[in-house]
Amino acid sequence: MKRAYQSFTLPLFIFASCFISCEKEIEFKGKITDPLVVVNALLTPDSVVSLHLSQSRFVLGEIASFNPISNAIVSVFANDDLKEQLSRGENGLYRGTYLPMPGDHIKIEVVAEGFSRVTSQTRIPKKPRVVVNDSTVTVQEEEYSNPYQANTVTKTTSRNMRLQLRLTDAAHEENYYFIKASQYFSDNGTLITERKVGLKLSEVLKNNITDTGNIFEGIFGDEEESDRTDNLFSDLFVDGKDILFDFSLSDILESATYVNGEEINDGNSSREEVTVEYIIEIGEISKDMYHYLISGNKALNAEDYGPFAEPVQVYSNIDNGVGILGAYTTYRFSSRFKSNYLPYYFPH
Amino acid sequence: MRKQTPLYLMLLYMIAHPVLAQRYTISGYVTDRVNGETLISATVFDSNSAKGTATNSFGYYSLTLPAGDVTLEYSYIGYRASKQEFHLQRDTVLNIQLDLDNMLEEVTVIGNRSETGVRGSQMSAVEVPIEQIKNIPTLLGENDLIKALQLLPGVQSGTEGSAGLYVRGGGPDENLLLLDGVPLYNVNHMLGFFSVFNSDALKNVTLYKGSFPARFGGRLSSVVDVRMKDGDDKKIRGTASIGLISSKLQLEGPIIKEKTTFNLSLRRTYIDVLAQPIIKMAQDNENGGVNRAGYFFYDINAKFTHKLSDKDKLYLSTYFGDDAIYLKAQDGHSYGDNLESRDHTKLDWDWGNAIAALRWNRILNNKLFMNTTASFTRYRSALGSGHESETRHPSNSGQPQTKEETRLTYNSGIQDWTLKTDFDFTPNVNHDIKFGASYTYHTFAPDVVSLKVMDTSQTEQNIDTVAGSPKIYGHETAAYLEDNISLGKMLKVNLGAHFSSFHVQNGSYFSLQPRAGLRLLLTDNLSLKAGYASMSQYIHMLSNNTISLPTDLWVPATSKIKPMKSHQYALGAFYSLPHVADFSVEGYYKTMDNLLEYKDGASFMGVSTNWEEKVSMGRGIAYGVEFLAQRSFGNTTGWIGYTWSKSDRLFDRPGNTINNGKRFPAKYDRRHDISITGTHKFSEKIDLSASWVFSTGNAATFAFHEYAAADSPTYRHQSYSPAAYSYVEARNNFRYNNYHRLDLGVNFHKKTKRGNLRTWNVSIYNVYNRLNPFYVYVWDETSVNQETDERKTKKVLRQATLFPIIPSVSYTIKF
Repeated sequence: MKRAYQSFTLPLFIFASCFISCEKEIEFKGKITDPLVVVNALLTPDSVVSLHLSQSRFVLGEIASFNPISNAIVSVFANDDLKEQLSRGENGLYRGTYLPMPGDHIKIEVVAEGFSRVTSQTRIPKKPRVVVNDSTVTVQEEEYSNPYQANTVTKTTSRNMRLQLRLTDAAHEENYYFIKASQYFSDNGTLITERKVGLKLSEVLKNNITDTGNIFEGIFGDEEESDRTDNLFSDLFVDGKDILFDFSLSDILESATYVNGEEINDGNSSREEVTVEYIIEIGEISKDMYHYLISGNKALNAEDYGPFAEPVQVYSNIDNGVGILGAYTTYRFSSRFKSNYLPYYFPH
Repeated sequence: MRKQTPLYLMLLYMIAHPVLAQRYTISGYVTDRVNGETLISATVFDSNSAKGTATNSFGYYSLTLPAGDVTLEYSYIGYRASKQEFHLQRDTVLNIQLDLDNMLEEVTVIGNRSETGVRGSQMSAVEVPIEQIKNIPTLLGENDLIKALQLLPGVQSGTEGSAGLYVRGGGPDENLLLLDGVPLYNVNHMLGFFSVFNSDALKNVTLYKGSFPARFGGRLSSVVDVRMKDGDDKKIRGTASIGLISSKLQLEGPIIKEKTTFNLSLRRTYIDVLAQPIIKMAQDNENGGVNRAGYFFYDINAKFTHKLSDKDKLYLSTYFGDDAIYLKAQDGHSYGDNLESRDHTKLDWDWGNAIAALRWNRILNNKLFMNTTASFTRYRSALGSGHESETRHPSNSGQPQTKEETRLTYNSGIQDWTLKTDFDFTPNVNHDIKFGASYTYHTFAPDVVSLKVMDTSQTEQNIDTVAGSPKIYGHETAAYLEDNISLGKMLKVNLGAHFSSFHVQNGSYFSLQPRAGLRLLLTDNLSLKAGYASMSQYIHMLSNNTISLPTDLWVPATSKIKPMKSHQYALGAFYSLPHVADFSVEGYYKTMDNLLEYKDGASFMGVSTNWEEKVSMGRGIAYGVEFLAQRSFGNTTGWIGYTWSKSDRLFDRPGNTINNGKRFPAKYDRRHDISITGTHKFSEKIDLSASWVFSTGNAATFAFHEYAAADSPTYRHQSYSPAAYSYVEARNNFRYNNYHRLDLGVNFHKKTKRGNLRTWNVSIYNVYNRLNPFYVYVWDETSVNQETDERKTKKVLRQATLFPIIPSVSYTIKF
C-alpha cells in the first residue's frame, strides 16, 4: 500500500505546488530553548552498565554534530541501592562494572554542570523461557538443466533446517519481544562475513493457531512500512501462553555446473570449505524500549510524508531530558555447519 | 386562602384569554413584486398588538391575531416596507408583493425584527444578503459564499484561500451545508480555493453557529442553510459573466407564466483550455512531452417550481458539479543503436457532488404548513492513473525487451437517500411550532484501490491487488419538535428537542438533544439572549490536515469510533441603532466529545484501510467572545467582526493519548480574528467594496531540537539504525506568522439602451502583497565559498505563500 500512497502523494503534491507563488526564509520568532540532556542506554545482563550522554541541538543554523557531555556524574542504582558511579570515557560514553541481573530495577541519575538533574529508570526483563520444540535437518541433492543453454546441468547439495522454538510467555505481565536471525561465515575461526536473515513475523508466527485463527492476526500490519520494527511484538493477545516460532532455513552446501559432462567454473562454487553459523535470537525488551523503538520508527516514516503526516513525539523515559533507558535479555539458538558454496554476498 | 384567589383567577384568565378572545389567522406568501421570488425570513408585524412573525423557508407566513383593527407591516431587508391596515373579522389570506428599493437611502427596514435580530429568539445566527456576498472582493474575482461566511465572527478559514469553515472551535466536517435543504458533502473546488456555491443561483443564506433550532441536527458546529432562487415567474431574465478563470451563465423565467418557473445556472473554468497551447509548447521535445494536461471544474444548478394550486407547490432542485485533473504524456530516449525506451503516463481524476430534491409544499390549513421532501445527495471521487514503460532493440521490431506497467484506480464516495416531512404550525400568536421527521439511508463507499504492476524483467515485482473497505450502509432517523413561545412582550423562548438514531453494522446509537433559546427584550432596540444546544454527529470526515483534497473520505461512526457530541452555551446582547446598524456581542462555551485527531505519524491519503487505528478519540473545549456590527441597508453596507477565542483538545483516554495526554491547542485555534468588510455605492454607476482581515497565525507542530538516537540490538541491519530523532515538545507548539490581507473591488455599471445592466468589476486580492504563510518548513540551505570551494549547510525556516497580489477583472451583463 505504500506504493499506492506514493501514487496519490505525487500528483497531489505537484497540483498543490502549482499554487505556491513564492517561498522565503523567515525569522524564527519563538524562544530558542536550551539544549536538553540526551541519555541513550540499552542495558542487558550480558554487558556492564554503559550509557551515552550528549546534548540536543537546535535545528536551525549550521549543522553540527551532537555535543557529548563528558563531565557528568552518573550514578547507577539497582533495586534502590547505589551500585556505582560510571567512569567517564570518550565522546560522552560512560561505563561501569556492574552487570545487571534479570529482574533488576535499574535507576540512573545524571548530574552535569549547566543542566538540571536527570533521572530515569527501567527494569531488566527476565530471560525468555525458550525451548527447542522441533529441529530437523535434511540434505538434498538436486539436478537442474538450464533451458537456455544446451547440455548444461547444475548439481546442488542443499541443507534445509526446519526449527520450531517455543516461548512461554509470563502470565499477567506486559511483555515485549523481538526476533532476529543472523548468518556468519568464518574460515578457521576467522569471521569472513555476516548477514542478517530476513524474517517476516507473519511467517515465523504462522503456527500459533487457535479455533479463531492465528492469534497474532491483525498485529502484523503493513510490514513494508516498518523495516526497523517489524520484528517486534507484544504479548497482548497471548498473555501467559506458549508462542511457537517456526524457521525454515535453506542453504546450498555444494554446487557444480557441467557442460557436456565437463565441470565448469560458474563463479558460485568454491572448493574452500567455510563454517556457516546461524544465530537466532528471541529477546525480551522492556516496555520503555518497545515504545521508544515503535515511536522512533513512526517518526522517521512520518518525515517521509512531509506535510501529509502528523509529526511524532518519540517516546522518552528520561526525566528532565530526552532519550531512552531501556533493557533487553536474549535467548540465542545456534546452528553450525560446513559449506563449500559461496553465495553472491560472499566477499570474493 | 383569601390571598390566593386573585392570583388563581389571574392565571386562569391568562391561559383562557387566547382561547376566549375571537381570533383569526392571516396567512400567505411574501414575494418580490418584479420576479415573484418568495422572500425568506421577511417579517410580518402588527404594530397594534406588537406581535409578529417571519416567513419560513418557502416565503409562507401565518399570524393569528385577535379580531379588530390590525396594522400589518411587511418588511424585508433591501425592500420597501408595505403597510396593510384593515379590520380583521375572518381568516384572511394575504399574499404580499414587496418592491425592491432602488433608492436605498429611503429604506426604512431594519434588521432588528428578523428572527436573528434584536426581536427574534434566535441567537448565534447571521443572515448575509446574497447581493452583499456578491460585492465582497475575492480571489480572482470569483465571488464566493463560503469566503464571505469566513469573514463573520466565530468563523475561521483553514489555510490561505481555502473554503473550509471552522466554526467556534469546531472542525471542517462539523458543518451541515444545506443546499435547498439537502446536505452537500464536499463544498470545495480547486483544493478548497473556491466553493461549489455559484452565487448567481442563490437567494438566501443563513449561518447558525450555535443555539441551533431543533429542526437541525447531524453536525456539531454549524448549519449553513443555503436556498436557491425559484426563478422569475413573469419574464425570462439572465446574467452572463466572464472572469479570469471562469464564465457563468444564469437564466430564469416562467415556463408557464406565474405557475411554473425555472432557474438554471452554469459555471465552468477554462484555464485548462487557455493553458493547453502553452503546456504543449513548453513540454514538447523531440522525444515526446505532455500531450494533454489540465484542470477544470464546473457547476450546474437547476431548479423548477410548479404551482399546483393555491395550496400546493412542487419544487425540483438539482446540483451537479465536478472537478477534473487530466494528464497524458509520453517520453522516449534512444541509447545509440542498441536500445530505445518509451514511457507513457496517463492520469484522469474527477470528483464532485450531485444532489436532487423533490419537494412538495402544502398549506393544510391557514395554521398548518407542510413540506415533504425526497432527496438524493452523492459525493464521489474517481481516479485512474497508469504508467507504461518499455525498452526494445531497434533491430527487433517485434516484442519489447522489457515492459513495465503500473495501473492504479481509486474510487470513493458517500451517498444518501432521504425522505422527510416538516410542519409549521401556528396555533396562536404566542406559539410558532415546528415539527417533523426524517429518514436517511446512507451508503458509505470509503475507498477501493486497485493496483496492478507488471514487470517483465522482474517477475517477482508483479502485483495485482485490490484493497480498501467494503461499502457500509447506515440508517439515520430523526424527529424534532420546537416551539417559539412569546411570553408577554419582553420574553420569548424557543424550546425544542431533536431525537436521532443511527443504525450501522448491527449496532445502534440513540441521542436526545435538547435545545433552548431565550430572548429578553429590554427596549425596542435592545435585547439579551441565551441559548443552549446539544448536538450529535454520526459521521466523520477523514482528511488531510493542511488542505482540502478530493481524497477526503466520509466514514460512519462504528462500534469503535463513537458519534461526536457537543454541548454549547451562549449568551449575548443585541442592539439595533435605528437607521445606522445592528450590533451584537456574544460569548460561547462549547464542549465536544469523541472528536477525532490523527495519531502521531498517521498519514491519510485517501485510503481508509485500518482508519480506526490511525485516529484517536478525545475531547475539545472551545470558548470565545464575538462582536459584530452589521449594516445591511443604505448606500454603505458591510460589517465589522471581531472574535477572541480559544480552542483546545484533550486526548487522554488510555490507548488514545496524544501529546502525552496533555491539553493542546487545536490546529485552527486563533486568539484574534478581525474582519472589516464594506461596500459603498457612490451612484447608480459605481460602487466600491473592500475587506480587510486579520487573524492570529495557525498552530503547527514543529520539532526545534534534534538529538542522537540509540542504536538498538533489535535492528536487523546496521543501516536501520537512525542517527537522530527530532524532538517534538508538544502538538501544535508553534504559531505561523499572523495573517492579514486587504482586498479591493470596484464595479462600474451601465444600463444599455435595451435596459440591460452591464458591469465591469475590477478587483485586487491582497492589495499590499502581504506574503501570508501557507506552509512553514525547515530547509537545508547550502552555500559554497567561492575561494575555498567549501560547502556549508545550515537549516533555515522557510515559508511558502500561495497568493501574492492578484488583480482580476470580470464582465457581467444582466438581461
